[in-house]
Formats: sequence, structure tokens, C-alpha cells
Amino acid sequence: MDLYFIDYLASNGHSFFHKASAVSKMIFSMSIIIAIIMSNRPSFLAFLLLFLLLLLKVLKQPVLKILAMTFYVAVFAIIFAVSQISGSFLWPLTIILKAITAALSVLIVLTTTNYFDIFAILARFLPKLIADSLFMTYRSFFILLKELKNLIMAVKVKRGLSPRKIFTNLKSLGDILGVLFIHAVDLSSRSSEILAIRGYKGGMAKYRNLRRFSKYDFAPLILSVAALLGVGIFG
Amino acid sequence: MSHLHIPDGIINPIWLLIGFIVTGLIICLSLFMLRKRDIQKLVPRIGIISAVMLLGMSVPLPVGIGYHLNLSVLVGIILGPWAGFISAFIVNLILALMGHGGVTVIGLNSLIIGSEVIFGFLFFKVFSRFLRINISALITTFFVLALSTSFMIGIVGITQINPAKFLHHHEHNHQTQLEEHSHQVESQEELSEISLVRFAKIIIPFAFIGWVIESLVTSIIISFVGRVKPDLFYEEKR
Repeated sequence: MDLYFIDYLASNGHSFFHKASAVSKMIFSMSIIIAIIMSNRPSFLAFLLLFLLLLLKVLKQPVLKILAMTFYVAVFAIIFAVSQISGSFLWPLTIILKAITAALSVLIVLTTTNYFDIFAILARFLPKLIADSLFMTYRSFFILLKELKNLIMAVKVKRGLSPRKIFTNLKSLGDILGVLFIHAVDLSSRSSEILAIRGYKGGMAKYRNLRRFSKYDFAPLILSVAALLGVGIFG
Repeated sequence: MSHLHIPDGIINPIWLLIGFIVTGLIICLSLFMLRKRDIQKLVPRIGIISAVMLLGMSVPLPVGIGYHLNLSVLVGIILGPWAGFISAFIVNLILALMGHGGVTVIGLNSLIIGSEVIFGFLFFKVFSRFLRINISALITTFFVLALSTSFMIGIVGITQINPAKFLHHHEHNHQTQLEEHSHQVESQEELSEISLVRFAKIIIPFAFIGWVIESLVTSIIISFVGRVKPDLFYEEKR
């Protein structure tokens, strides 16, 4: 998982998609997913995939790196597709195309949108406890990631991880995660003290107001309509 | 390994809706059960433990492609079933936002990971009465993961994801005679059966390795945490 990299791309890009509001980009992603659900034609799905890759190129995003993020989905889609082979290869191909295209459409939104904007939308639909916990998860992920990297480095220096010793590696991994777990519990205790001092009563995830629609929103909205029209005509 | 890594657009929308409704109901029940808990402690605890779960999933295991830890049983043991289920939902939501699983299967995925959390808590509670915590964690994790994988295969079976449906969709226009249609229905049932059995045959050997690894690592973590903070596991029980 490349949450750190995704966050970097979302914060440092300057394309027209970066400037569009999160709402229009989420509409774009949902339209693509609806098109994927409605279509069973591999040629249309392949076209959609190529279109999304081209869009990434236009947005000056690292196409191959973002495509590589669909690896897990692709692997499991292949396992699932293999189990579904029965003469024709069209269905397995359709499954794989659907998996990668849907994942890519979500990644386009995530790599061009600040997570504050995405959470601002989600917080309107989710209960306070979940919205606040979601925010806390996202923020603490980066703090703990840094710590995890340091722990792994420390264990590597002491030769606790080596490619040929699977059981030693698992033991070291367990210990690393154990230490991380203790630190995480300490961090949660400190955070709750900070929240108590600040008089927190729920509703941390107010974030910011949703950005107003601008000229940059036309692109994702037009592409949404095009995707839905495309699936209606060709899908 | 027990994630429902089935992409968007494959499962019948009715089942997706059922997944969301059931998940929503369990979340409502969880929020009701947690209503008296101190929100100042609960939010950081759920948030940060969910982050550890996400981190566990981001560490690739050195045994082949696609393997990563879930830590869902561990989360169930630490957070309890209600906060644990919310944690499972949050993790699934973030994973879906990152393209690591379909957006439309968040509901079904939350039910699968949530079942690991809930059964993990319950089994550990029972086993830890008779056995040492690391052995309890080992047995609990193995059985719970086996259970959730069966649950996942069951969902694939119930939702009737099969090529026959797809083939039927394309061939339906050319179908005119009733006899041909009934013959096709028979072959669809056959195909569906074959594909589900094949799916299970492919998944279970892969999953078995995952169960063993996750059980071992969870046991090591529990053993470590038990030495350093022995009161942590019993927080929910008090």
C-alpha cells in the first residue's frame, strides 16, 4: 500500500483535476464504476481502461506507478478469473478488466484530491464516531509508518531479517508489530489526554467546507456523462 | 487473504445492497453498545488500532506474492467486538478508496473482516480460560480465518457469480426455442457448480498458508504484548 505516495501526489499536483472539487471527481469515479457494472463487453472495458491511463498521462501523474497500485486487485481478480474459465476466455478477461479499471478510477480521484476534501464528504454521511476515527486512522497511519520503517531498519541492522530464514523473519515481524502495537496503545492514550484537554465531545471531522463548483469541475462532470452515454450506446 | 477481492461489477447489485444494509445494521448496533463508553478514549483507540491494522496489511510477507497480514483477530481481542467491527469497516473503507478492493463490495468485505473481529474476540475469550494467551491466539486465529474464508466462499456461492450468467446474457438474444433454453439452464447450473468448486480449490491452499502465517505472527505479537502490557487483552472483559 502506498498511502504516503498517494498523499504526496494529491498534495503536489497542479492539473485541472487537482483543481476540481472533490464532489465532481467522486461523481466521475462513481459514473465510471456504474459503467463498469453495466458493461459486460471486454472491448468497451478495455477502451475505458485505456482512456483512464491516457487521462493519468494528461494529468501528468506517474501512470505506471499508479497502475502498479492495482496489483493486489489484479492478482485476486486473476485467481477468481482462473476459477471461472469454462471454454471462453471472454469472461475471465472481463473480470480482470473490471477489477483494474474500477481500482484505477478510484485511484485517479485519490491521487488528485486532498484527503481532507474526501473526508469532508464522507463525514456528512457517517456517524461522528466513525468519521472521527477515520480521520484519526489516516493521520496516525503516517506517524506509525515512520516508526515501522525505523523498527524494520533496526531489525535489519541486527540481521533479524534475512531472505532465506522464513521462520526467523516471521518471529522478527511479530516482534516488530508487537513493539508497534505497544507504541500505538501509548499513542492512543496520549491522544485521548489531548482530546480531553481540548474539551472534545465528538465532531472532530468537520474539516473544511466543500469547495464550490468552478470551471475545473466541467471536465470530470463531462467525462462522467460521456462514460454513462458510452456504456448506454456501446457497453 | 480472506478479503473478498472480487471487483466491482461482478456481484449482483441486490447482494451488494444486502451487504451494505447488514453492515449498516451491525454498525448501528455497535454504536448503540458503545454509547456509554468515553468518546475521548474510544476515538483515538479505534483510529490508531485501525492504523496498525492498515500497516499490518501493508507489510508484504516473504512467502510469495499477495500475502499480507490482516491482524483482524488481534484487533478483535484488543478492541472487542463492537469497536472492532467499526475498525474493520474503517479499514475496508480506506482500502477501497485506495483501489485495494471494490468500492461496491465494502459492505460484504466489512462483514467478512468484521466476522473475524467478532469471532476472534469470542474464541479468544473462551480459549484463554484454559490455555496460555499465545496458544489461545494461535488456535483462535487459525480457526477464525478458516471460518471467514469459508464465509467468503459461501458469499461467492450465494451471490451466484458464474460465467453462465454472462454467457446467458449474450446468448439470450439468439435463444428462441424453449427446449434450448431449458438445456441451457441445466448447463448453467453445472457451470456454476464447477466454477465454485474450482474457486474453492484454488483459494483454500493459498488461504491455508495465510492462516498458518497469520496465526504464528498473531501468537508472537500476543506473546510479546502479553509480557509488556498483560492487562491490555482483558480490558474488554472487565
